[in-house]
Amino acid sequence: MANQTISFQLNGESHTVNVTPRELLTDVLRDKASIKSVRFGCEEGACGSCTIELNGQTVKSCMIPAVRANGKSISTIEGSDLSEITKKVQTAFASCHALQCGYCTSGMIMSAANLLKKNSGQNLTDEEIKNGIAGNICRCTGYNNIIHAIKVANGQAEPLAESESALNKSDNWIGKPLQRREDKRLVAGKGRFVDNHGEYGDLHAAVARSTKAHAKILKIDTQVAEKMSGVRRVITGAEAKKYWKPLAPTMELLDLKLPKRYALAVDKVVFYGEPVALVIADDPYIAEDAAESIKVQYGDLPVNTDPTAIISAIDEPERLLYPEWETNTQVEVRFEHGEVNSVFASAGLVIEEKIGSHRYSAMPMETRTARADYDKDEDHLIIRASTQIAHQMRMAIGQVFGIPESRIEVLAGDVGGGFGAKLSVDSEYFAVLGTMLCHKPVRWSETRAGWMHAGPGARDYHTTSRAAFDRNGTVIAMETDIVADMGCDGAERGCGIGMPLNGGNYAPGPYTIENYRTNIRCVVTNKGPYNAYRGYGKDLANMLIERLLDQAADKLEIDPIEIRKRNLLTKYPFQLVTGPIIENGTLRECLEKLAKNMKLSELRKEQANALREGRHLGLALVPYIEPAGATFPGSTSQNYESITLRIAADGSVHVITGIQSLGQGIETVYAQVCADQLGCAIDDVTVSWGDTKASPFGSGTFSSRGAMFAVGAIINATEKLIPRIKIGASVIFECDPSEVIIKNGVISCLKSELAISFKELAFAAYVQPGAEIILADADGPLLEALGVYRHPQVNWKPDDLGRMQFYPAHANGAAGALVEVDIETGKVDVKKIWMVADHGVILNPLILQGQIKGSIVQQLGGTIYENLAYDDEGKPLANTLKEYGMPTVWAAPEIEIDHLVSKSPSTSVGAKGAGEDGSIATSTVLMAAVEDALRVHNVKVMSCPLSPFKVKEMIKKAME
Amino acid sequence: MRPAPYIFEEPTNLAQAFQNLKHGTPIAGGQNLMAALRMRQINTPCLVSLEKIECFSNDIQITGDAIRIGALTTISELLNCAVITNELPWLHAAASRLGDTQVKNLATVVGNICWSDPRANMSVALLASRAEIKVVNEKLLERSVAIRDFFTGFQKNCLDNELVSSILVPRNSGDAGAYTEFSRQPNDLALVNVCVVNNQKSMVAVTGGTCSTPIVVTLEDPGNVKNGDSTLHRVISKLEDCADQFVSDQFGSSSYKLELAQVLLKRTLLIVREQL
Repeated sequence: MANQTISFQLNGESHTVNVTPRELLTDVLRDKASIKSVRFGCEEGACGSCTIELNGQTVKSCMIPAVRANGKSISTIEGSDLSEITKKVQTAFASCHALQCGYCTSGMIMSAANLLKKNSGQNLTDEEIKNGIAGNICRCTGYNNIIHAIKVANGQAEPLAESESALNKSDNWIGKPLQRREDKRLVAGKGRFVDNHGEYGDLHAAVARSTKAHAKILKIDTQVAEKMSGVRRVITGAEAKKYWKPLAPTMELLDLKLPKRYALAVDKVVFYGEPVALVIADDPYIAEDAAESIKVQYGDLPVNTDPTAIISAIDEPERLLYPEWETNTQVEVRFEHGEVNSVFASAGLVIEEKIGSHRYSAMPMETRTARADYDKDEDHLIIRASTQIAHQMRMAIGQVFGIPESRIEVLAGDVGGGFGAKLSVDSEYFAVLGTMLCHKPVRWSETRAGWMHAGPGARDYHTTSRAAFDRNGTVIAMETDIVADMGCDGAERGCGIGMPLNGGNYAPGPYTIENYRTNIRCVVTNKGPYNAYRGYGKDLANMLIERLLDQAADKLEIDPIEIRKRNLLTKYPFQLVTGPIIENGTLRECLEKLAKNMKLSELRKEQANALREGRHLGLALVPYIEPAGATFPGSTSQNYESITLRIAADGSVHVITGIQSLGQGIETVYAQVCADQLGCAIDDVTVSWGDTKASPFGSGTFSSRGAMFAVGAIINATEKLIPRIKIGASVIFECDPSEVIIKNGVISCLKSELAISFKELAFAAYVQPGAEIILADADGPLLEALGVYRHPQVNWKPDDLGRMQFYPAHANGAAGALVEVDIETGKVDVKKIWMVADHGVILNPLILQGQIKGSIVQQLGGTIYENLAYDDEGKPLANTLKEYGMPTVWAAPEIEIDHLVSKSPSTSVGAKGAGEDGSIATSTVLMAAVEDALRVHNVKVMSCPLSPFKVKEMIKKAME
Repeated sequence: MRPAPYIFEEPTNLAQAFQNLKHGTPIAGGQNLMAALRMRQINTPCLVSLEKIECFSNDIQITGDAIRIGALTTISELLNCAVITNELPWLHAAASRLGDTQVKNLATVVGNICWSDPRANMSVALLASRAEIKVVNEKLLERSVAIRDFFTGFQKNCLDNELVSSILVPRNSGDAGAYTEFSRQPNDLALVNVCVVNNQKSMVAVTGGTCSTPIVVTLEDPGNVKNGDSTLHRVISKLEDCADQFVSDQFGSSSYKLELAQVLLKRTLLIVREQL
């Protein structure tokens, strides 16, 4: 297509560029005008990450052909001519923790600022604010803090955070609601996301995907693609086998089976959307043209999307995804303890229910993306990727391509959300194969539809669960039979297989259940892969026991809170029947505080009054435990984390970690910890991550490991450096090292009142007079140390019953919900969520609350709106965020969070890890609240989604 | 995903536009079309922008007994027009529920009806308002189409190498009216939507989202809506006549959509009755 020259005003300056007619304005701004704040998050104009002002009005630049911008005026957040209102919004977002990963933030701020401009200083209602930003999706924050920030920018509310300069420097930094350091770049649109590192001349990868869920590949015709101008390489799965090995598994524990698939299907496809051929081309448009032109002939195989269907290898061999397994069960795990059968046989009350959840997905705003650059002469590969696990990615790439890890550098800057879904390496190999074949940098970005079809799914549990009770409501035995749908695989392309295992392991909950049996089957079907997702099966565990307890409370006419109190553990440490040890906590206290905070008796009156008016309000409370800091044998989730702590010659302090920033605020929190523990000034601390060449080996970010492991590693390193600092200073002060104190960046002598700065000490150690003099008596001459933290509360050696301890700490809490159900339509309106949470010592309350709020709305979205559904042919029904049901700001209820603190006895500062509360308890408490609302109609709520259609079906069924 | 190749034309007059459209697809705001192009559900050799056609306007004018909505009037412009707010509040309500701010700023009223999705807010509200669609053909001859005759199927309409030049809404289309919709979240796609407009001569109740085109029920009986349950039953009875055409999808079965339509009609009629 002929190029056209267009001109526009961009942030006050004239720009003239050549474009092809089909080029999207987002692409042109990013690649031809260096505006990186506009980002792709979807194909349909739903996410708003690309929002700009065009002639003063907010629009989504991905929905506009660039040629239409000719002669118009464009404003983005990078502009040097930003309005005062926009600057106020930027400041307010940072001071209200209204962003986490930052991927959506530029677009969100553009919409918020435009809203304020149009309303010129008038106070805004929550509804008006929601209307203004409904076109911008945020996956991290749960929206509450965004609404608050907009009010702050409009002069209607006060900031939530405190800046470093505003805080009293003589105080400890740990525990302070410090404003995040990372926000400065993120609110300015300068996040370091993968796609920001693309350069002109990069090649682009696109994949042709399977249009069948289960079929033999008979023939692939790539001729048209190969002849297209601008196409550098077309490669099928069969040909690619020459260049790579099968996918590196994410998990290889127990006796689970691995599919041993390649990143491109070779002879058959096992899910709709599976990549079958790869195209490398000069630009992403041509790459997609070529991928679309590839024709595949398939030989249909029977499709199975039902994990509970028992597939017989003898009767139906063609329905097996991997015939060599002779089954579709990827792993089956059984555990039994106590007298389960006999107790059930003699129990006064047995409750049995089919409890489960549908399939949904982490769905971060940044999909999976990678840029790979292989230097053949140097035999060196640099890959930038959106990942939670930079070191493991290096390991996987080395394994798949046979490249020594020492020649691979993985860089992960800012990551636009992960939530567990970026704990594997699967499609990122495309960029690597592309650069190795074409010897130029290759970029690959997953489309949103690509994520819907081939990205990681989660949940999808089907259980039969039962519990036996005595007359007092004590659980005397429990049994769970769990089937989880792995899709095509839950261990190679992802590590979701641990979710149902956790579900079965933790189902007895924090209760004194002595007789327990579980049977967990992880079954493959012709759906997309299955990966970890925030909650990681602890959501299932919570759902199973708590739903059974509610049913028993109903039958025995015991108050739901009372029945829990009768069963809750009575002393700490407490070992669950399945092995995990809950070290300490405040389960009972959280439940009591929650009831008080909710003003339960008043709400019950309101509920009764509403019912008289024909309105159905529902209330529920559930306790929860949050096992944190996962470590698994047979995986790369090691029981340690490490950091490098370096004091440079100018006294600046550098913390380099293998923990990955996903928006959880490590840049800020680790600086707080380091300043407190080392005694340096917080301004002098820099935190770096996501660079496998710079940081020591780390397991990456998942399961709240940052607060538990990396903080321990920082403290370990400071403990190594502090004696050296004291020895060095004692030489300078001519005193005993024990007389040296270090605080707020000042190193002083107790006796003489002499004092030096970190800069002076460091100069003395590095240069004048040098380490050989001032550190002669130290254990080393360097002001640099490797800090390692190995968790003592982990046990990978099975006890006599085969039980192990994978989670070293257990945060706990209680969640409450108030809902209203429209019984005519089935629509659930979540009016408020309460939470009382105990995460041990709080490192930064602002960030902790942000994590909790985000997890609540995320799981609320999954419970009510989101659905990765398939038809009988295995074709996904959702292609877009709207079809999928991504929660917008309208989904966010009012949230009230309170805390109790029980210092962890097993971590360095007593923190227990946080961030999954909402993901664990929200589904359960919403199901219970909806059931409570519909109690007058005898509706049981044992599964989600709680979509209007499903809830209406439940109501109709109960009324039959 | 990104669109397949096309050429881009920006005609300034209708003659040029129709010349371009022989092998092309018109684009106004493009908020549905661009998504379809990006996902390659639609491929076109030529995209013909209507933005610069001189005789196409983006204004809203009172012309005698009608309110004239221009071919390029956006949803935001409609929402900011006092005449619409005052005289056609149900149309305003429908527009306010359509998409988000960014979409409203580009999407046009005419584009919304031309996309001819059976749950399109503007289609349902304009059907209830008894709008008249002004259509121009390549000979530059204009004809009027009653909106009731405009929609012919799922994302299909009666345009035959023609463009919509304006929409006329009778100023006396209703003395009372309301628009309601059922969607999972506000600003989301409506699963079912309803608009009821009542005037001295008749009452029109339109239900969208259930079949391939919106269902229009007209009761030629002034003051009908005051009859409460009787009116509701008459409308629902006509709706049930079409029940075999109701569509099931992942958001609900056809019978659920019928139930939703009944609930919305009941609620909307109540709002309308309270206005009288």
